[in-house]
Parts: sequence; C-alpha cells; structure tokens
Amino acid sequence: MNRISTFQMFQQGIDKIVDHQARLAATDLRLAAGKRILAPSDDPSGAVRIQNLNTEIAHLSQLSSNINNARTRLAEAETVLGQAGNVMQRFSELVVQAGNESLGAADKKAIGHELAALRQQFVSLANSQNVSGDYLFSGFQSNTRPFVQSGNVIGYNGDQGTQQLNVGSGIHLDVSDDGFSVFQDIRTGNGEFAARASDSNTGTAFISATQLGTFTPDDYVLTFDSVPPGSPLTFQVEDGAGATIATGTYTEGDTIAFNGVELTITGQPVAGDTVLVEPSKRQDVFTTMQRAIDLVNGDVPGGNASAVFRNGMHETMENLDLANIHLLEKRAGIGARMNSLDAQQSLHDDTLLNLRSSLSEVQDLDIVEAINELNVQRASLQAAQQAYLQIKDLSIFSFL
Amino acid sequence: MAELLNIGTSGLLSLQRALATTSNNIVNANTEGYSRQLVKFDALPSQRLGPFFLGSGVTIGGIERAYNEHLVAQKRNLTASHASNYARSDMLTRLDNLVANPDNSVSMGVQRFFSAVQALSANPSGLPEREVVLAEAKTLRNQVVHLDENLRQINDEVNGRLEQMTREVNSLTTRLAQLNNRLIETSGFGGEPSELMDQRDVMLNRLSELTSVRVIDEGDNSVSVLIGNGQPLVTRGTSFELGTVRNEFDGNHLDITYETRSGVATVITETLSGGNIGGLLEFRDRSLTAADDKLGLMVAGLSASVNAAHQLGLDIDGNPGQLFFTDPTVTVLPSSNNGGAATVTAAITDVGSLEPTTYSLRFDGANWALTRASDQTTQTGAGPFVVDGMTISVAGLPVSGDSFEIQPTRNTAASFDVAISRGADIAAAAPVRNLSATANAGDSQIDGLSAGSVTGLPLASDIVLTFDPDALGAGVPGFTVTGSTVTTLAYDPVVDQGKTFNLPNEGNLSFAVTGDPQAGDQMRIENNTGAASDNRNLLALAGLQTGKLLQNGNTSIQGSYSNLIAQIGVQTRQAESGTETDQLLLDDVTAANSSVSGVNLEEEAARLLRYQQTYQAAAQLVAVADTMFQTLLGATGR
Repeated sequence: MNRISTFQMFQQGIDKIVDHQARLAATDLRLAAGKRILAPSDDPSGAVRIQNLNTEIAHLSQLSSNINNARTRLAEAETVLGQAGNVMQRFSELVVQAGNESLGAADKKAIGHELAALRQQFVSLANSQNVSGDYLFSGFQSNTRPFVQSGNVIGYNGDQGTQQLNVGSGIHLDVSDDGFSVFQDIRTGNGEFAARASDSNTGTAFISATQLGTFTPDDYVLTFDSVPPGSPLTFQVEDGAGATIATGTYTEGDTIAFNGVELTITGQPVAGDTVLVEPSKRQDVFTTMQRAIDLVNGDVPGGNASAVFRNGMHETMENLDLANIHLLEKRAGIGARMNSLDAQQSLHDDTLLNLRSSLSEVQDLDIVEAINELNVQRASLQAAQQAYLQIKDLSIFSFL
Repeated sequence: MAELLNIGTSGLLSLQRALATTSNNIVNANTEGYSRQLVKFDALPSQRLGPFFLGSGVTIGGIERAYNEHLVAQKRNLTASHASNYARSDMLTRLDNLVANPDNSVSMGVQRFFSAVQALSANPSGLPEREVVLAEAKTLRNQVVHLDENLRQINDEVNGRLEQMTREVNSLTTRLAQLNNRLIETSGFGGEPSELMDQRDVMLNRLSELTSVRVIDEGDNSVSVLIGNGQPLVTRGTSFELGTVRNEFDGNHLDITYETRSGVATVITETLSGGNIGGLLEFRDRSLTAADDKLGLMVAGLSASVNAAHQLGLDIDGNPGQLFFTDPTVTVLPSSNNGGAATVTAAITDVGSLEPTTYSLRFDGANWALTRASDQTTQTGAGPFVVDGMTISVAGLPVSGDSFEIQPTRNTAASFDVAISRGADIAAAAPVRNLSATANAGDSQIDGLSAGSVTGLPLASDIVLTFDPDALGAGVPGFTVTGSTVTTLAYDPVVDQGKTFNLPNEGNLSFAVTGDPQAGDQMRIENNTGAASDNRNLLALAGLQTGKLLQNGNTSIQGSYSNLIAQIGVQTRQAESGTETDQLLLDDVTAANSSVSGVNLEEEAARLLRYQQTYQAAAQLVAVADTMFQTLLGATGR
C-alpha cells in the first residue's frame, strides 16, 4: 500500500512552491542584470573566459591609446621636420644663387644675411618643444635644450636614446628620433668618400668625384707633378700607407679612377697641388650650413670665379644635398611608422570587435529565452500553489 | 449472559485504548519524528464448553510503532552527507559572490595598474601620470587586502561555527546518554517506549546534521554512537566530549579534539567527515586555504617581478629604483608541540617556481623529511632543502618528532602593500645608455641595451667598445672593451650582424651590435643621467603583464587569479549539485520513511470511525446483556 503521511503531503506542497519561487527569483535576478553568469559557480569556465576577455579588451584598449599617443608624437616630429625641409630647400636655392659667377658683392652680402637667418630658424626648429615643454630632438634628455651655439659651432647636449611605445603585443615602436641621428649623423661627400682640393693649391683645378664600384676606405692623396719642370703635368695617387696605386699624365677633363673612386678634374693644376680623397665623415647640418655662409660671406681672391670658391661651393652643395636626403629619409621613416600604426590600429579594432562579440556571447543573457523561462517558471509556481490550495481542503474530517 | 457482558466490556476497554491511540496519532500528526502507533487486537482465548470452544472477547495484543530501522539509518547517513554539502556550498557561495563582480575583481585591478604604467610610458616625466600609477597600485593593494580580509573573516566564521557545533554535539550526546539511561530502565518491562525512541531518533538525526556518526543497537533499548575512526561518543549512559583547540602550526585554524574519560584530548579533525562539521572542515582545507594560497601566489608573482624590474630602473631623480611593492616572504610555523630548539627559515629564490600549497617538515631523530601537501611527495635529508623556488634551511638542535609547516604564499596577500610613496620614486628610466662616437668612420650601433641585475650598477666607469680588426688575433675582428670591465668581444661585421653580448658582472648587461664598424670606431655604455623621457624600464614593467611568469612558465599573473576564480566556481558548483542530489535522495528516503511511520489523517479518521462504530456495537452488547438480564429478572421475579 502506498500511503503518505499528511504532514509529508503538506510539506511536499510547500517545498515545491518554495523551490519554484527560488528558481523564479534566480531567473528574475539574471533578467534584471541582463547577464547569464552572476557568480563564477553559474558557469566556472564561462566566468574565467569573461575575466580573460575583459582583461584582453582592457589591454587592447590601452594599446590603442598608446597608438594615439605615438601618432601624436610622430606627427609633431613630422611637422617640424617638414618645416626644416622647407628651410633647407630655401637655403640650398640661395646657395646655388650665391654661386653665380656674375653676382655682385652687395647681392652676395644680402644672400649671406638671409642664409644666416635661415640657419637660425633651422636651429630653432631642431630645438622644438611639444606642448608639455619637452624637447623633441634631445633623445631621453627631454628637459635639456639639445642644440646650443657656442662660437660658430653648435653642440648637441642630448643623448642617443629613442623612446618607444608598446603598440601591439610584443611590438615596440620608436616614437622619437634623437637629435644626433636627425641632425648630426650625416655623411660628407657622397656618403662613402669625399674628394676635395687642398686649401694650399695654387692652380685652378676643379674637382668632382663619383663612385665607381666598391670604395676601399683609406686616405688617398693625388699629387700633381712636373718633372723635370716644364714637362707635361703628371699625377700620382698614394694610399694612406704611402704606396702608389695610380699614376698618369694629366689631361684636363679626363677621369682618374682608383679603388672605387672616379675623379674628374678640370682647370689647370700646377705641380705640387694635391687632391685629397678621404672616407666620408660625419658632419652635422649646422656646420655644413655655416660652411656655406662663410663661403658666401668670405672674401676669396678671384671672387666667385676662383677655384677655391668653386671647389668649396661644390663640396658644400654636395653636403647640403646629403643633409636634405637625410632629413627626407627621417621624415619617410616617421611616415612609415605612422602607417604601421594605422595598420596596427585597424588590427586592434578588428580584434576588439571580435573580443567584444565573444564577451557578449559568454556574458549576456538571451533575453527571449530568459523571459520564456520566466513564464514557464511562473506557470509552474502558480500550478504548485493551486495544487496546494486544492489538497489542503481534502480531508474526511471536513465531512464528519 | 455474563459472557456477553464480559465480551462487551473487553471490547469497550480495548476500543477505548484503540481510540486513544488513534487520537494520539491524530494530535501528533505534526510532531517531528513521531512514529505512528498501531493497535493490535488479539482475540481472548476461547473457553471450552463441552465439545465447543466459545470466544471470550478481545484484548489489546500490543501497540506497535510503525518503524523501519533501515530507512531511519539511511536517512541519518543522507542527512550527514546533505548537511556536509550544504555547509560547504553555503560557505563557498560566499567566496563565489566575493569574486563574482568582474568590475571589482583583482584581475581588473592588475589590469588597471599595468594600463597606468603604459600610459606613463608615453610621458615618463609626467608627475600626474606617475601619481595615477601610484594610485592604481594602491587601489590594487586595497582590493587584494579587502579580498584577503574577507577570506580571513570567513575563516573566523568557520572557527566560530566549529566551536558552536562541537558544543551542540556535546549537548546532544549528553541528552542521548540520559535518554539511553531511561530507555535501559524501561527495557525490563517489555514493549517499546515509543515516544522516547522517536525522540532519540530525532536527536541522532540532529547529530548527523553535525557530523557523520555510526549508531549501534546495544540490545537493551540503548544505542552507542561512534564518531570518526570509531571513538565512542555515547555508550549507554555515558557521553564523551568534543572540544576545539588551535592548530599546532596555524593558530588561525581550529582543530576538533576528542576527550577520553581520563581527560586526555586528542585531535581528531582529520578523521571527521560528513555533517556541517565535516563540510566546514572540507571547505576550509580544500577551498578556503587554497583560495588564500592562490591569491598569495598571484600577489607574490606580481610584487616580486615588479620589484625586480623596478629596482633595475632609475627614478625621476636618477636614483636606483627601490622596492615598488613589499617583497613577498614565506611563512614558517613551528608546531606548538616542538620540544627541540631547531629553527627553520625559508627564502624565495625563484617566484616563478612557487606552488600554491604547503609543506610539512618533520624530524624523525636522524633526518628531516619535507613533504609537499598537494601530492605528498617527500624528500629527506639534513637540509637545506631546495624545493619549488624556495630554499628551506634548518638550524639548531631538534628532537625527534619536531615539525614545522611552511606556507609559501598563504600570508602574502595580507602583507601586500605599496612600498614607494611618491610618484617621483617610480623608476621609469633604464640604468644605462649607449652612444656611438660622432667621429666614427663606420656605422655601428648598440641595440636593445638592457640590464638584468643590480650587481655592478651603477657602472664604476664608462664601458668603451673599440673596434679592432685584429682584436682576437690577426684577422679575427672584435671589440676591445675598456672601462669598468676589460675584455674582448668577437664581432665580425660580415657574419655577426645583430650578435648579442652579455656582460655578467656589469649589471648583467645584454645588448646587440649591428652595422659595419671601422678600426678605432667607438661605442660607449655609460650610466644614465637626466633621461627625463626615458621609458625603457616602464616598457619592461608593462611587459610583465603578459609574461607567463608563474608556476614554471605556465601562468601569467592574471591567469593565476583566473585559476582562483575557476577553482571557486567549480567547487561551488560541485557542492551545490551535491546538495541538490542529496536533497533529492533525502526527500525520497524521508518520503519512504514517513510512508511507514508518518500519520495519515484520512487513515486515522477512517480508523476513528471504525473504532467508534465497533465501540457503539460493543456498548450495544452490554445493553443487550442488560436487556437479557432484565428479561430474566422479569421472568423470574413475578
């Protein structure tokens, strides 16, 4: 016989109602929060996933904010270098103008003044500061004015540090360029070697040099000679160790080639004149500019037509060109880094979108499903309550 | 006629008792543990009447207690199991809710700290940004300490409940012993004192809610109650007391003791299972301490690695970085029973190898045995022991049986704090910088210069690398190094582009060399000064966030917190589903039990009606007998 105790019968009815109420309350709480997981025990692996996704999202957001910072920094430097490029452009044009042989002394003086002003402007640009007062081109020494003039020489007070920012997981991008690498680390000549006529030359030889194959670094000296005096002019090239590596008879306009160097000499050198070919050195842009100003302002015997002036101008122009190219390269480098920032940013945006949708999948409640569940649970609760009310009156005692 | 009267009377008397029993059943319908009673009617023996036997009425053969001892025992076992799971899930839910809010989680605190470091790296000299890093570090510290305090409060509550429950056990066992005595007294009369036995079952059930017990029927209506490994709690009229005592190692934990009659208390914590006490102990030993250990591991990993990186840097004033957080330490707890004078110290040698567990160190008279609690692996010897990123050293004279408990990370969270006080103290810059000489003919440079140790820093003098095509003998090019260290480094520009070098005694500096140096070209490594916008050390600090720094390269700092959450979530879920399963089983056995013993009012009503009718009929018998008697009197009296 399946008997049930009255107490148990009532208790079961109540238990059912309480149970349904608890379930209903839990669903209600989820709906109110709009979340599927209220505590880790609701779904331990889901809770950990939420945690990890939130962390990753916050991390990526921080990287994106780093990218914005990096972009600001690079844009500042880019603007300054753009202006510096313009100044260089104007400077070079004026130098070309000053080299004109028909130019009068007064005109040269005027050009000299403008060149000096341009150089000043260039120095100010190299000493640019950002809004918080940090110098852009002093490496890590951002509180130190990087380029300070003493006499005619401009010294660098910064260091060679490059600031980087973390713009992607494991990716550190340079966001600053130090003054040394921008304004000082510039080669003379053609970048490999520089050829120049000795200052003590008495002839009118004008030197231009090009590269022919691989340059073997060494200090070369080309000496003109005429033995016995009056005989045709000859030349000989000696390397740093004093060994003769090339000899020949001088013919104006001919090329002289040795160890990767091809010299073209015009004009009339005299015996004892020398041409020096040295490995390219570093010369900061300010010194190059100062050389140009000195040449333009200087009073050279023979004026603009003299070999000293022409050789000097040729050498300076070559150096200015290299400086110009160097600045352009630096700007191009910044542009390339800004591009890579954009690529990195769009990568982050895509990833963020994916992460957010994953997060929503794990974390957010399916509202429709939850409301449906709520309705089912409410119906069950009502049924349990009604059932309880129905059985409570069922007793023989009510009929006695 | 007289027979009729006797039969009627016997019926009236029996039915009165039956009606009384039914009434008692009815009024006890709601009494906890009440077993309904059934009246057993017996026909009185017949009398011989010549060749016939004539019935002589009815009597009460017995009043039986509807009772199934297997169901009762089963209910007791399930009650213990359910109470254990319930207590566990109750406490675990607290932990669960504690770590539930993702916005307030320690992991987010760690995230915000590293984000602030990243933000500072964009403007290393910015004092506002520095203050933000400091503030986020302090917020993180508060979150960790808050969580830890909550864990401690939960532990205190466990202690309080254990104390209260042992008192309840004692009170129950005292009353059980008294009941036993009364039951033994009644046993001589035969029959069962039903209500007393019901009362005893209720008490045994209460006891099972507290801890698992074994009940043995002694045959004289009394029972014996055993606990743990078979220690008697109640034998007949005697009860034994449970007590609490501080754990011999960790005074924050209470142990349960068993007091024998001679008053000697032995710790029986490990033998207890089931019931609220068993559940609480299991919660404490498997969940709470594990949570503390895991939280501590995360904190140790964070503070040790941040400290190591921070001390390699230079602060805004150019001074070497100090400790950023308090350095984690290992807790060594001697047993309160130790008789020797040995002391044990433990130091962290590699935070990346620490395990979130505890170790026991015991001296057997000749050797020390170090046992890891998580897997019971043991190593023996005289010490020092090198285990899981720690060095454990022993000093002094022990006596046999002396023991220590080593808790690598349990208390790390409690002592976690921010050690620096000013934003300016944050070491953003790297200790050294490198430069290539302006006069160099070639192109060569040092890349990725970084320090790995504070030893040898700051440099005694600048380190100068001078290129020499014959540095290591004719035709073997390299750098001659002068300055605070003197050596030669082989570098052939043709094949060694990007070659990395290491100067172990000079801050363990490492760097790569690229480019084409010419003879005499110089590169210099010097102490860093005035580097206001140097963020290299911040980048190193920020990089710690994603590194798998813990548990032998398997877990990141935040990952170890995720492990904690996963552990709490899984355990809570297990305990909850265990509680639900037990509840279902318990409901079943309760229903089965109450279907045997419980009162059904309908049934009792029917019985009431039946007895009432029979009673009326029996009364009618007496009336008939009377009428018969009157008839007889009338017939004879005339």
